[in-house]
Amino acid sequence: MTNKVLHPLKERLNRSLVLRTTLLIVATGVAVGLLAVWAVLTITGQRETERLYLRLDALVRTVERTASIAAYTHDARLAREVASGLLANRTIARIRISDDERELVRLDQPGHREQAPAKPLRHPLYSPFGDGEVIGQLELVPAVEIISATARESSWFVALVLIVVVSAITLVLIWAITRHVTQPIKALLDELQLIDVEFGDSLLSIDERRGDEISRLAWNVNNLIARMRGTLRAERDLRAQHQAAGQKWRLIFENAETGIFTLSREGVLHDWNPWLALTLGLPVNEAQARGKPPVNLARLLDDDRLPALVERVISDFQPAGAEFAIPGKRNRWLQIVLTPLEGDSNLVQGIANDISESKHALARAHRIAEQDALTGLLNRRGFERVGDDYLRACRPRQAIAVMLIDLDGFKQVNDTLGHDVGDQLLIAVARLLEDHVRQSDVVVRLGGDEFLVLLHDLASPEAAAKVAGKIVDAIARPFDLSGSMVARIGASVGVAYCDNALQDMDDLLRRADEAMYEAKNSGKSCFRLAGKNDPG
Amino acid sequence: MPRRSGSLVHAAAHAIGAACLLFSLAASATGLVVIAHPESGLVNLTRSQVIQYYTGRAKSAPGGEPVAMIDVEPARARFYQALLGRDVAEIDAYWARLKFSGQTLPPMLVLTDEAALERVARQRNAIAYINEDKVDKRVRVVLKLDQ
Repeated sequence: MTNKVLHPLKERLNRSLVLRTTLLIVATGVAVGLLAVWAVLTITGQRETERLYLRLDALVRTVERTASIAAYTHDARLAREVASGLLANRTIARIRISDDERELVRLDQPGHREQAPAKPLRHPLYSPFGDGEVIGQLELVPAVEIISATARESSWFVALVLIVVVSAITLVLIWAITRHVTQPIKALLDELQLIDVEFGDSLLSIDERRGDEISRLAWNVNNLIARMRGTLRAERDLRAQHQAAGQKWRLIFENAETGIFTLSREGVLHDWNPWLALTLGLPVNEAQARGKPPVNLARLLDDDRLPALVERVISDFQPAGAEFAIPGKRNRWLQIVLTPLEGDSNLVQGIANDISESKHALARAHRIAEQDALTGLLNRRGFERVGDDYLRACRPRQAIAVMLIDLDGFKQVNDTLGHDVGDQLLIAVARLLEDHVRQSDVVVRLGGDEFLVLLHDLASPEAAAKVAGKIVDAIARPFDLSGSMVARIGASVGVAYCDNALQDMDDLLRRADEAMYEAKNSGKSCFRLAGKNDPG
Repeated sequence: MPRRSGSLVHAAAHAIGAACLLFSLAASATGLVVIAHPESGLVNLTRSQVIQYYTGRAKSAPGGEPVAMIDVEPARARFYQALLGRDVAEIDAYWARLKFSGQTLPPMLVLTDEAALERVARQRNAIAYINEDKVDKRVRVVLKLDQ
């Protein structure tokens, strides 16, 4: 409860310099005053008591001679006279005068009540006629209470004066400090709180010309404000420039039709632009990326070449690039070029271009170059590319066979029915050949009326012979062509069987060719199987 | 009332004494003696006893009867000078204080040695001082004062 009440006061004390200073001065004043009063009461009380005792002593001295005479002559009446004279002083409680034989007089202060028996002061009385003979005694009991009271009274007066002086000094001090220190500081503070630096405000209420500490402070603050204003302006300009440049770069970065990114040595993507995000299905912005594990580009592309590329770029400190298939998208390719970053050996900068289009164009060009324009089959060049692949894969029980097919009687059709019909016939033959082999087998038009079929995955020469027989039979049937024309041709087929990858394609073709001529010579529209490794 | 008249007598005696001082010094060059009645208890007094009697400190003889002191005007100054080393004025001031209480009476004053002799001879408890050469059979010398 007390704490709750005390806290606001403490808070206010902490916040208010005026209050704190005033309280401190008041506390110091009170402490100094109390100390001074205590000192005054103690010291003055003692000195006042001493003074009163001295006065008693002096008083005794003035009557000493008469008291001596009274004691010398044993004159009680004279002694009583002396004693009653002394008792006029209220600080004396009791007087006793005695001669060398007996007490001459003993008088008490009327109305005095002895609180505690005080120590009596004793004065020896000497003979009035010299020779230092002690002939009596004057005994005096001081009225201690009255002496103390008197001393206290005068001490209190001094203390009161002191309290007034200390209070006056304290008040003057409070006034002076408040007026000249704390109030100006508070005014300064209030003004500072309202100041608008950018607006060009400065502290006005303090007279800078006065030259004391507060005005120097104000002067310095004004200087600081002026400098700060300059700095602020410069910084704002700079920030605007920076922002414009940043905006420009950000636009480039964000709108580029190219992936731009930075990559750590471990393959983790640090920054990337929206294009890359869209292409690779990454989070587009910070908000999407939050809480997700870092993206490792090598793992994303599922390609071991990327870490190797990064290592090479960092170690050679030279740009390098490679092409990578985009995962999850058919026939989409990225060309990634990595560039080392100045001053950071753990980071590379990269750009990624979508090269799918050009790659497709290139593939299309390749395809066109390898295709027979009329029938859509592979041409000789196309066969030369794929043929060796089949040859390399062949082995016993998974053998291949090359069939050379030469049409019989095509020249007559061409000559009599025209080139168009000839072309139609060639197309029909091509479809027919395709119909008689598996999808994975290869059908080629070598040129003119010469075709080639490559069979693979054959268990025996008989399997090849069977296909060859079917083809011969099919081509021997009449072809229905457009304009209700019918063409009758035949085919001479030479088959070369191979179950050994060591064989040469040219050798195989030569054998097939020889077998084909053998078929032609044997009356056409039939097939011949070339002898195994028969050079003849 | 008697105190005051006594004081007046004393003052007058002083004046006369002062006037006769030169004459008496010239007339009697001999020493002073303290005298008492021959039948009194006072036989040989010490100087200190004489001082005590003449300052009022002691008031009675060893026998018990009170002692009456007599000041003799012509030798008064000499006497106190010899006895106490004090002026007459000082002695007078001393007695002035005592006279205030009235309990202790100062010595009685006579103007001549003859009057002193007569008084001592007549009063058994009286003491006085005179020039040595004036002493006769009526009195007894109890102390010789050195000059």
